[in-house]
Amino acid sequence: MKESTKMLLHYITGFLILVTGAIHLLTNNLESFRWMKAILFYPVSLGVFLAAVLYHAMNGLRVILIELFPGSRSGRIITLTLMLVGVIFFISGFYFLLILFGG
Amino acid sequence: MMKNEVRKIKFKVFRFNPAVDSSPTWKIYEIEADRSLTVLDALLKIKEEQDPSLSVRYSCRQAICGSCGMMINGKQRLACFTRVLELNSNTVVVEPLNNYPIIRDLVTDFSDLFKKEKAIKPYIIRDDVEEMLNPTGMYLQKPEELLEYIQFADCIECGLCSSACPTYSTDSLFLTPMILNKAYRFSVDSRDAGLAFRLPALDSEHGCWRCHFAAACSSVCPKGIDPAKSIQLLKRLITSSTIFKRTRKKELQMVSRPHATESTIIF
Repeated sequence: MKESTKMLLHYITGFLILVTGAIHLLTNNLESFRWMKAILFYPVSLGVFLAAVLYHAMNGLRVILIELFPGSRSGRIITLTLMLVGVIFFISGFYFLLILFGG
Repeated sequence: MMKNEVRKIKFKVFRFNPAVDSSPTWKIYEIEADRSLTVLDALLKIKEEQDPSLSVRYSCRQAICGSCGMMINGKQRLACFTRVLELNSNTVVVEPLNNYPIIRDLVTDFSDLFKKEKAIKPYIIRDDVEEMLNPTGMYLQKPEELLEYIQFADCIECGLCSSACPTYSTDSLFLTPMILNKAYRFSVDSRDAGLAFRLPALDSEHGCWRCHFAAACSSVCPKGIDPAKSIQLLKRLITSSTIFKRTRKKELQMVSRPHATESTIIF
């Protein structure tokens, strides 16, 4: 993946965190938004929130680490390691969401 | 009429010869400065009158060659462009530029920058190779097309921006503001069609995306170029061309070269 694509996704996921985070807060704190919890939209938005947070956090960490440890080999190791960590977190988080909303 | 004030100023100068010294030292010199004396003049006066072993790089003395960049009172400045009394300090601390290896005393090594500059192909690249090899005319450029890059073309390659860059201080592979500004200057030129050839360097892990817009480069640029702006514009240019596949329409009108009649062409 090109660096420009990775960074564009970073900005998009930043925006998605803002939107889905707001949905999560509103649904759980305001009575007038509570109806959203009953429909599929809410668990889907939580799934999107999980994926966006993980991508944004892992890519942010990648950027910090490749600046601290410059080099093509270290860059590859950092990217692959963080990708693996992100996938593991996503699978466990998604499993938790399935248990919570799947019945 | 302004009074020609003369003040005694202490110069605290960084001294280090990597071939001989194990660690850097500071030497203090005292000179009389009037309002016309620049830091470069002062250093040359020290070299002539007090310490001939002091090493300084300079050439034009008028902020055009970009050779005499150094840290003056903690900030990246051109020594020939900085008047001693304007610093409003009785002690002037002079050090080599940050982020570069030291050759000797105040002279730093820019070879890493010049190596990176080659990677971004800092020249006009065109599709019509035949015309490039055997030119028959000149490309016309509209004033608005010139305005798109003229500000960024004023770079004198003094390296002050790259020395101030916080990313370059940790990431030695980062292309640095000086090089990225040059890449934008050529990529946005209406005569150029070479962005695709520059992308492997620019759109890489250590390319333009590592700029976090601290804008330290713009604050020290002696030519007011604003490299931080050119890097943000470069990001936009790369995003629109690689992700959204939007290429700028570059239609060029050509006029024949003045005086280029057949009789004047020498084969």
